[in-house]
Amino acid sequence: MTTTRDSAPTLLEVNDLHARYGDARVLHGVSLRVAEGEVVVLLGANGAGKSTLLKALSGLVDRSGGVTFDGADISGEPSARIVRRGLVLVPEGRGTFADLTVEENLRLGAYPTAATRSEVAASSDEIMTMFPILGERSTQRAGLLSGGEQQMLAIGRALMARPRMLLLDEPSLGLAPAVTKSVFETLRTLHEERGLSLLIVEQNAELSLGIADYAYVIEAGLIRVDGPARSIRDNEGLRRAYLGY
Amino acid sequence: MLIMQLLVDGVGKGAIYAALALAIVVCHRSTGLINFAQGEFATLSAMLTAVLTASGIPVWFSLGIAVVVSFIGGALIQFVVVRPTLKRPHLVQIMITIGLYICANAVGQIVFGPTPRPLDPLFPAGGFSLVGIRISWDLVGVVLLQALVITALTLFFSRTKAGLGFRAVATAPAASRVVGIRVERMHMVGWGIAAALGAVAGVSLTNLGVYVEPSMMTPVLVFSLAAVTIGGFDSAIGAIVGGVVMGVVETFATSLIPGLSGDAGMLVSLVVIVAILLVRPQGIFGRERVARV
Amino acid sequence: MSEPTRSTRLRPSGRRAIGAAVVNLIVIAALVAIPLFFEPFRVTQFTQILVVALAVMGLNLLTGFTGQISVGHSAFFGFGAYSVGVIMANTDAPMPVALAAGTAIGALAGAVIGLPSLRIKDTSLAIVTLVFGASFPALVNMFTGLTGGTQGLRVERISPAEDFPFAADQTRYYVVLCAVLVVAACVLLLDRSRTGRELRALGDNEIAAVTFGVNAPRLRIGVFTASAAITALAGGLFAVTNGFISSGTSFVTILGSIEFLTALVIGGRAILIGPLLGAAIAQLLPAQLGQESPELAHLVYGVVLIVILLLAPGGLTGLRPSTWFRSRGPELPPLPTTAPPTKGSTA
Repeated sequence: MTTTRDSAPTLLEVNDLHARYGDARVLHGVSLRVAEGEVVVLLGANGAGKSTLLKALSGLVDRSGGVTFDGADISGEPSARIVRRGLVLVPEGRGTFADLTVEENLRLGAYPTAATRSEVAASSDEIMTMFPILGERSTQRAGLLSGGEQQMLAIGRALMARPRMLLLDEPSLGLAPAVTKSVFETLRTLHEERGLSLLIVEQNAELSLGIADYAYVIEAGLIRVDGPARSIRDNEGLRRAYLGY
Repeated sequence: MLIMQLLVDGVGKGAIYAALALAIVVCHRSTGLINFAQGEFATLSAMLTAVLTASGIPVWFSLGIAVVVSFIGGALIQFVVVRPTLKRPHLVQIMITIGLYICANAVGQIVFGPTPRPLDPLFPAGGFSLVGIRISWDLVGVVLLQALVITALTLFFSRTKAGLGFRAVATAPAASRVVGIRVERMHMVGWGIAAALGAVAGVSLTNLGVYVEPSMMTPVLVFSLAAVTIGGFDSAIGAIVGGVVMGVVETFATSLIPGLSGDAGMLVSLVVIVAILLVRPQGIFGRERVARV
Repeated sequence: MSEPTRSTRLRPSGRRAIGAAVVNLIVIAALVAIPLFFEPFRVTQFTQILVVALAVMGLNLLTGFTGQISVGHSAFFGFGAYSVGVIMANTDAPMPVALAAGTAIGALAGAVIGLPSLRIKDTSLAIVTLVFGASFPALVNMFTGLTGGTQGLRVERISPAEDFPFAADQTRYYVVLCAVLVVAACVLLLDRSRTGRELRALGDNEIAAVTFGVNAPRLRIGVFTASAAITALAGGLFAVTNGFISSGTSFVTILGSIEFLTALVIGGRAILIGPLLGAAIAQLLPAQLGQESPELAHLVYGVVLIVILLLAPGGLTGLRPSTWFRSRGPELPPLPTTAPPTKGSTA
């Protein structure tokens, strides 16, 4: 809720973040903040640097600038440690292990954590209960799942690390509208029932603004606009200029 | 009967090829790189075993030490020399392993010397006869030892957390980073395991009548590379089948074709691998990769 | 960060081309002058360097253009050397004819090995060439009656006519030098031609190249054939300058392949100077150090190779002195001060 944003403690704070992807500089000093238990959406066109921002936060690309998670400076940490801290990426295009089984995919989600074998098995059971389709297909290779199922698997895998915050990269990409809707339903449930903070990168502004508390609009590697999700949704000029609907 | 005898001898040789081929496959699975120095690493491991045995340590114990030292050595070499080149063109990486081949060969010459030395046998002497086929305990031992190693390796990859991590890194490095697997560390451990497997292969070879000396593994390397090529670079099963096929083909060719002897078996293996690759470029057990524009 | 990719021309372009041309001319002048100032022993050593450089130029044609590694070029070298040796020992054919025949036989061997390269690529093909290279000595030993096997084969060496102004060692040197310069000129022309561009495209991305109408099979076999022919010519020249070949001659064993490859990597891809520099280091370093301990020389050589790969991936000729004193720069260079403001405005 927007009213809680200022009073709630900060979970993720990004200050003047620069990053590059290969030889191209993609982020030119991005600053943003996600409060504890908040859903924040990052909107922007293709190539605006949204995915790179999430990768930079996860320690997957070269970056410089300040990133604080739960009070700790994680700007120089390797991806494994960032996952252990509870900041977990659900990558674009699902990024599952296509050659491994669904169950193995889930187990890999807990890889960097110190969870024991039985704890991992318990979390895995829990997630298969949450997503029954994953339970049904636990011994199938992930590459054989449908797009929506793979997205569920990617989210389930991220949950295996017992995260405090998920970074979701285009969860609706390539999915049919009905499937997209159910993915967002799932995200809303996770947020409401588990108090998970979410930072969602999306092109589908309408749907994502619907579940977000706060929104940032990124363009050409810079934050251009930010504000409560509702006010962005209601500002017609802004929608036209940046969101194209 | 001669055919059966040749088959048995061929399988014995093939077990050695399979052992080194397995090392090459493990290395390739973890780093996507064929290590042309794998055979020389194995030679160094066998030399270490020989030196330790000569100082009075029992041969099995020496082999154990050599396996551990090889693991550490392989991992260290990956860290120091190979890791910095991982983002470079493939050509550079392969040349690095050829550089390692030259270095390892020279180190063997300098430290161990050129004189061949026998190594204490791992298995009892003698053998038995089965319906006219002569089978030595050495041969049985070597095959069993490789079977043991392969079983242990398979269990490691399929049953342990680290093994799962290896399979993840081998098939999807990008996704592995996302879930927080330290891909670089897996590469290092992969080289370590490969070197340790090589140690077993090198010492096993001495039990089939080969003395420890520099370049002892060079012909083995050629056949093992041929084995992984026909088996598929990423397939452990392929390495085993390919190794045994190479061993049998070589034994049959050099015994049955007049004028073919010694290294000339390689000519036959050349024909075999070209023929198989023409039909299946990715190897018998290899998975076809989708080409991208 | 600038990694030399296969799409980079073998020949530098633009303003640097003039500089490269000047350097090349100086090198050629030096090459011509060398035998006039050194004792026969040294001239013979330099001749061998030229032979190796020629073999490396052959390999460079394949690896430099298409990025394909061959660990079997020692066999092409061997085909050339033994064809010349066997022809001259058993027929009355004059030396130039024998050399031409040796080159042709090498080309044929290259075409045969190039055939599977239509379907087998990269590491698999490298291994096929390795097995091919490793089997060559065995092949020689199979036909001991003809080749002399491990005992070796004496070959009539190049000897100048009586009124020729140069001594025997100088004559041999100049013959090989001529071959080196002619081949370098041919490769240079190829590099500038349409075929050269197509070859590079093929090396970069075969599927894309074929889409643009490149005839991949013809080019692949062609480049393999030409590459093998050049290396076979080097082998033939080795036979008629060295006067003796055997299945133990290191150039025809897998060690030869390794030497050609390492010389290529050390020297870099500059058409003439790269192979020359690489061959000189590959030959002289072990020879100089080897007086004390040949093993130590090999170790040093291996270490040099690895260090060059780590520090100068383009080989020695890929180094540009102008960049030596410039640091590589931080991973994230500071942004221009004209960058737009970093803080977003509130709606």
